[in-house]
Amino acid sequence: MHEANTDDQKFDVIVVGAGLGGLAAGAELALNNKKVLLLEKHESPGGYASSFVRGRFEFESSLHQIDSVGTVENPRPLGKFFMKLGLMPERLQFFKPREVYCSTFYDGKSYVLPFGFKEYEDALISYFPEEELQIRKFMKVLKQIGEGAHVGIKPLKLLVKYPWFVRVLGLKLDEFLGRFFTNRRIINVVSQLWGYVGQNPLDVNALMFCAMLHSYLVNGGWFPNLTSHNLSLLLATRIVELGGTVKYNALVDRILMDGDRVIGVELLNKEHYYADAVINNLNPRCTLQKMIPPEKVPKSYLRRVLAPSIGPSIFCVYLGVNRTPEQLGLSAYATFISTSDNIAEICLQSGLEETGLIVATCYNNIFPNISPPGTSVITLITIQMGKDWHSVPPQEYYSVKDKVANDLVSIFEKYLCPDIRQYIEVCETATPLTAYRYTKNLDGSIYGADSSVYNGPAFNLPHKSPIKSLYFCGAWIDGGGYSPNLAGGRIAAQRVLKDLKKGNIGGN
Amino acid sequence: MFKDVKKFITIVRGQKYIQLMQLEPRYHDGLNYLAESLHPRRQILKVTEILSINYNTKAIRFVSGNPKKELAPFRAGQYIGVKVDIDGVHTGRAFSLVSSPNNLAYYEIAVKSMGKNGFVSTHLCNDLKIGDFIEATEPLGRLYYNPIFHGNKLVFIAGGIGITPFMSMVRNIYERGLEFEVYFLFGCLTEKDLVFHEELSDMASKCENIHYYPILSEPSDSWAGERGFISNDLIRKLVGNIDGAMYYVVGPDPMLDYLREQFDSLDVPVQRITWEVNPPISDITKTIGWPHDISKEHKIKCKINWMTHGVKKTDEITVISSEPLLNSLERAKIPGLILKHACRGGECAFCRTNLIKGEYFVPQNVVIRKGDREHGFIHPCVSYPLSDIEIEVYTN
Repeated sequence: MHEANTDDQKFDVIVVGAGLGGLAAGAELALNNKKVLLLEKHESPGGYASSFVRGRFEFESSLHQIDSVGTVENPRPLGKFFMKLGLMPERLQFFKPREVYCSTFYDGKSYVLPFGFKEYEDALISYFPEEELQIRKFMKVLKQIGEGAHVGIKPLKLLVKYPWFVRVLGLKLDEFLGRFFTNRRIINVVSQLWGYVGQNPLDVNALMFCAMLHSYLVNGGWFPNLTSHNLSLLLATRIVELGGTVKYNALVDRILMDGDRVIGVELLNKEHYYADAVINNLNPRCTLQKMIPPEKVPKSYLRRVLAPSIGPSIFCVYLGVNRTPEQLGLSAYATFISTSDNIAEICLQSGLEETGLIVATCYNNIFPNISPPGTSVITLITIQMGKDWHSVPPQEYYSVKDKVANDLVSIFEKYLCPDIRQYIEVCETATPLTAYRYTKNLDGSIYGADSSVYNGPAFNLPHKSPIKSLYFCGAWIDGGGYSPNLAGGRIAAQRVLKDLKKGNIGGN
Repeated sequence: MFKDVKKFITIVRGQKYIQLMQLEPRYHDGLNYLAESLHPRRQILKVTEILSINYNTKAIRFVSGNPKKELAPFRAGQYIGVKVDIDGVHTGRAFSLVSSPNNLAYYEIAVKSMGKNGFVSTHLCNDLKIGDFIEATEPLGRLYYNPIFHGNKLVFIAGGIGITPFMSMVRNIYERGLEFEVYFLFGCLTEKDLVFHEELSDMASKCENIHYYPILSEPSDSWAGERGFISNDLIRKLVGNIDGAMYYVVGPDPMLDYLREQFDSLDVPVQRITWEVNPPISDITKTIGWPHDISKEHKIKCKINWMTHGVKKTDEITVISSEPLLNSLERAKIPGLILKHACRGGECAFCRTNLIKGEYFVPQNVVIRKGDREHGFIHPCVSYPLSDIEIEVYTN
């Protein structure tokens, strides 16, 4: 039964899921002359890295900015990968916003924070001159942490040269910033990007936050031409050009095993494909419990996979507006709006009843041609937990959705753009359910497992699973975000290449 | 410093403890119920009633064909994709739900038989019987009232069978006593083409904020209502100059073209009007931008590359340029070659296909993701092949 009938069914490596991890893994393997099959259940690649059309507008689904791309002259790791693939700069260009973020508060005060380590420091000092000493101290520590993140697992070297990297491991963000500042406002401004990592500052892992902030400041934040759909599409196209196969509308239902070894996959329509190794971009909880016979999964491994709580999801309102950003008075790319200084209050109350913090992103300010002339596309988001939606009855779903969307627009209207409603041409809403339905990440999680101190880089699962020939990549392994997933997909592919070369796997 | 490190070590220990607490690893999918209820992969519907509502239009009522599953909730104005198998041709069309979203005991659609010019509608009108089962998609579509920006003054303009989404919206407003000021302009040919006329008149007479105006272009002498086309003057006369109203226009494409001209002289901002073609474009060769040298009967060759059960296949069929490629692929009846589809208007991207080579036409108002356009991906439901083409299809 487990025999390939035709050559078309036999591959070197099968990658399940064309999310960012799967795409990067597929591209890395294809670059190394492996015969690779990438299977995707949707009709388009990318997972969350996609776009959609409503009316005459194309909306970016998820991306704000990718760090570690860099320029052609000074490429960062991801940029180097895109150049190696022959995508950058001819087919794939990246744009950088003017500022890393803009933070606006209920009292009308606004803080514009620029890219660049020095520039960020100077801006902070100019806003909070009385905190200068503490700011300099904090920035020194931030640098130490950011640089320590590239040392690797060398405890002694880290302890001696980057002690703060070790100290920050067990700290929550709010606690960590509390060591430097007492002024609530500066803590809120500095911790503003927490939504890009996951939980609120009271829970989020300070290391993950600092590493990310450091990378944004040093490497910049980047947005691909057209949208992230174009980035995903280019990666998929490149895989095909390099001899690989990408199959859409192909939902993998089961992982096929021969004894203790993974040998291929079965699709929902019972098609079989075989390979020496399978790289899985799906959520490992689902894979291990629903796609593999339970007796084949080591219990200790399963416990480790299930231990972390599920991370946050998102609520988005996508607006197509018949006005330019200048006409609307929107100069920043991403503006964080807080309706209170009490982060604890905001975060604990945030849910379906109340929204306290939103991010308003005007994509025309990073990529002007994203919408037709004279118009703009704006996305309003807030972090939400998928479990808040568990108890919503189906009949009330639409009214709850409309209510929350209205809350977000009200905040945007009140603090940033008073007459927005009369210019809206298209308005689409995505809830945690939308995220769940599209990717089947549990509770519509956007970053995989949560990013509390009980999780995070120190506890990441390995790319190589204890099940022979099965490898993992994706947010549940590498942590959330564009660059960790693209990087993680490559690491998984490199593990496979190494094992294939050594003869640990394959050879049948 | 050591305090911090100690803290981390405690956390590492805590982590192990959390792992040990997972005594019985359990798969819990908390959003699955909501997802399955709202967005079922497919719905099986059972026909319970077929009513003739005029000489060529039938109202068809369905209940859930699966006793364990309720019908999915919807927003007034949305449609379901009805899937049919007509002599081996697997296809489907979108039909707006006319029933009220407050009543999920049944769905109701209204189907106008187009006679020989129709395919699915004719089949549904002629062949469907009470007790039959059909397959449908979840409710879809974005023609519905959006409380974020639509306001409370609504102008509905319908032509012929384009009335269907509004029927559900008006029923919803009436039943729930919503405080909207509704102006409903319903354009038809003659008295006998009117549908739901009594019910609408009745609702309008009982509810003072619903204003219903049937407008006939070729009425009999005894017709006491409005006559002619829905011109800018008529809109001005019936609706007046209302600030901040939201306009919804649904009708056949010639009517939409006419109305676009009329709206030019009305002072309505672009963002306050939504347009929807219903029924689908009847003659693509009359659309703006269609190349003159290609006639309605022009035939081309279409090479299809696809993969099934691990075997790569290539088929070649002859198709006509003036039919959407998706329809031609369905008509070819190649066993196993079934494309996913829902909206058949270019928006849902379900039928997304790789165009390897060839020329094609897409109506002007259809927007496809720029990335897809650049990398040769098309939506066959709105793509009309102009020259011999080669495609790669991802079957479902």
